[in-house]
Amino acid sequence: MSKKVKRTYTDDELIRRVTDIEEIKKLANKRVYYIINEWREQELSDLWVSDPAYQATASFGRNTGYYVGMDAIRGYYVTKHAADLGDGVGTMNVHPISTGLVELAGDGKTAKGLWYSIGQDTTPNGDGTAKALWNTGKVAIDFVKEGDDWKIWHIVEANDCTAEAGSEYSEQPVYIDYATDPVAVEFGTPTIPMITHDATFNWWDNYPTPPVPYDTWSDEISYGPEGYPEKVEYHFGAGEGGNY
Amino acid sequence: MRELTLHERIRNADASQQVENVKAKHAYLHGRADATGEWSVLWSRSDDCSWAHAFGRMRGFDQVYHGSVGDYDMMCMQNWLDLYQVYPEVTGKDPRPLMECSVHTLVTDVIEVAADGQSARGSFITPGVIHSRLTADPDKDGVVHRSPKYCHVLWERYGSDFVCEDGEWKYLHEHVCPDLVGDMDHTNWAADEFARITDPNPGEMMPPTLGQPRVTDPGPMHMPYSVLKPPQNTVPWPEPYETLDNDNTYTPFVR
Amino acid sequence: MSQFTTEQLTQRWEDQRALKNLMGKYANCIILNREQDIFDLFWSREADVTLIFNDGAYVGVEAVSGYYQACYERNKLVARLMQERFPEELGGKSEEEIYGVGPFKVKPLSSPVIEVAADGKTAKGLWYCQGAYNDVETCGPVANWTWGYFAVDFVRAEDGWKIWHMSYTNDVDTICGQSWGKEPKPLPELPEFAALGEFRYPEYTVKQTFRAIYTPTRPHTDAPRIPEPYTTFADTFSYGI
Repeated sequence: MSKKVKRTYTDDELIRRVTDIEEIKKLANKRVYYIINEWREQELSDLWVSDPAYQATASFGRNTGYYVGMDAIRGYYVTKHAADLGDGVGTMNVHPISTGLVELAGDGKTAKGLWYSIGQDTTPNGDGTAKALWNTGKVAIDFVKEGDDWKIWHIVEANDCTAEAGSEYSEQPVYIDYATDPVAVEFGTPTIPMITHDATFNWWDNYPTPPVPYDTWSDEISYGPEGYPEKVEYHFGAGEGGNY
Repeated sequence: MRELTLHERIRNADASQQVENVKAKHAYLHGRADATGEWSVLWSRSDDCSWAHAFGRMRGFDQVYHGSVGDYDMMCMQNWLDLYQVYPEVTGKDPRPLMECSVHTLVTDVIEVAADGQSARGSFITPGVIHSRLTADPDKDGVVHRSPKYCHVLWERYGSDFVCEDGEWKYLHEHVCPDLVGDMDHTNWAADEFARITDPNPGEMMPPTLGQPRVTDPGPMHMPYSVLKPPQNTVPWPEPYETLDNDNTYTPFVR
Repeated sequence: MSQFTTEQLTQRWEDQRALKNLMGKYANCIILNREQDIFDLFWSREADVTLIFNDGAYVGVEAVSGYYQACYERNKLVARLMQERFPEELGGKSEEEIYGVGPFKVKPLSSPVIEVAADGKTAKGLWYCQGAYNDVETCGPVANWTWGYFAVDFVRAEDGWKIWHMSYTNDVDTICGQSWGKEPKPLPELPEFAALGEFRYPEYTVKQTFRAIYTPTRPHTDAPRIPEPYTTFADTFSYGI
């Protein structure tokens, strides 16, 4: 883990860091409207990394694993989704974000951010009605600066609750059936299938972990699969003082 | 108010972002019910600390710590003891996050940093959810049974004061104002409340908070929305200010 | 950012913070039923100030301020009807004392995208609003989910940033506890609140559908245009008409 190093900054350096953080928040917020607009292909080209080295390690995670590399991400996030979407009539996917916690690396080259989304996904049933689902969960993002612009490198959208609008959440089964869970079904079969966040135990697994101050990038702090903390996997691996 | 130098303006811009982060860290630690983490890291240890809710206001770090950490942990542990009887898979897991995931999201922020750079103030609207999957309760005979999972919708407002101590931003005052509380997704606050108060045998409102810690300033301080009362303005938005004082604070200072 | 000096960057950061604060205060005024204060506190006096809703727009100082005044008048009517309905709890109180009884209109603002013009004279912002709108209608008190967008042009005045054009349009306007994907089930009307059916907001200056509310048969509908970096307002688009 990269140690917290307290750097000192000149006024000019500090206001540029402050501006960077605001630009990073703006980038994450823009993505909200790209999702509403169903601009997924544009999202990948406008908001995500373009450097081939970063594209190779870019990842998109959900509760059931990670797609790794832009080709795999595109296959799920754009191609599969477009097939599911059809003509878009009656579809409305809205994932507003809030509670931003952004840590800019001391060296200013990367950043990590965590948000929470109380969103909804509505899809037509084909009979004049639609299935409207509340979806809540964390959205964790790693950013990297390419030239003057901040870009998305890794994303984890960790679902906590899915509830049909107008129905009682408490009447749904307690346990998650990944074969029928709409979020898991939509995610398909990722590059690395694994349970990253088991919402059965609320936030016990603490994944994705809130970012902490850091000086320079290392893969072990990544929101990509390379940064998945082993100790959250299951309690047998917790070690002394673990799980508390 | 005096005009700030460029250096002071940059310092305050950085401070504004830092208190946003303190506030967000609180949200994520609270979501895991990690009260120890929150109060050991994010809070000033000052006697001027305060934490207020509908039940009243705790004052001084010791009282806030015991009410927010000790009392809260006790509920978590009791919950785990019940859970363990009907959900053995909780074995070996931290009891605290198993109680519930209480997420108070932060939006609509109004943030001001004092001209002297030593404090900051913020008001927030917090559309939130409080959910838990594994739940258990004892019946009247003390036999524990599984209960339905739940997701409450809880929308509040926050008024928060922060202070800068040795270059680190810390919480000093928190005033939580519960406004809308119900269940996902069959609650209609206004219609439900109207039905309740026009019922010849009105039921109880859902309690706006867990527990009743010891307080210095007794409540009620801010109660959930009622169709019979004008909206309360318990945590008015902060205005630009020079220094944290009794004209600019969410908790009047006691001297 | 590289083209801006240290001082310019500082000013631009302060500007976006001030715009967030302005909109936060606006949302708080709505919660507190202080609509009668909104125009004086937050709006520009530009002749073409514009307030757009899903089905029409107010244009000009008189029309926009008139809308907020109408909100105030409706709040007063609601309070009076509630007083008549609940004489035990509210009887004997003055109009001032009961003002605000009934509604609780929460419009939280998230996901801001703000662009301040390079010339510093104007700015644009887009927010998502996941509203919970408790009000009193002809069926009595009722809460609606009101989910949509605040898309705003701001102009810098002598006393700070002011709203110039505001588009507040919703996708969802559904009774809380019901699904926006299903046929709405209106609550039965109550005679004690029938007077609210007679209440009319001022006629729109421009009556047209700016955004259709979501239905399961609505074609896919984009969010309002996302603000883009710009130099001066003539170089960008307007959230007005």
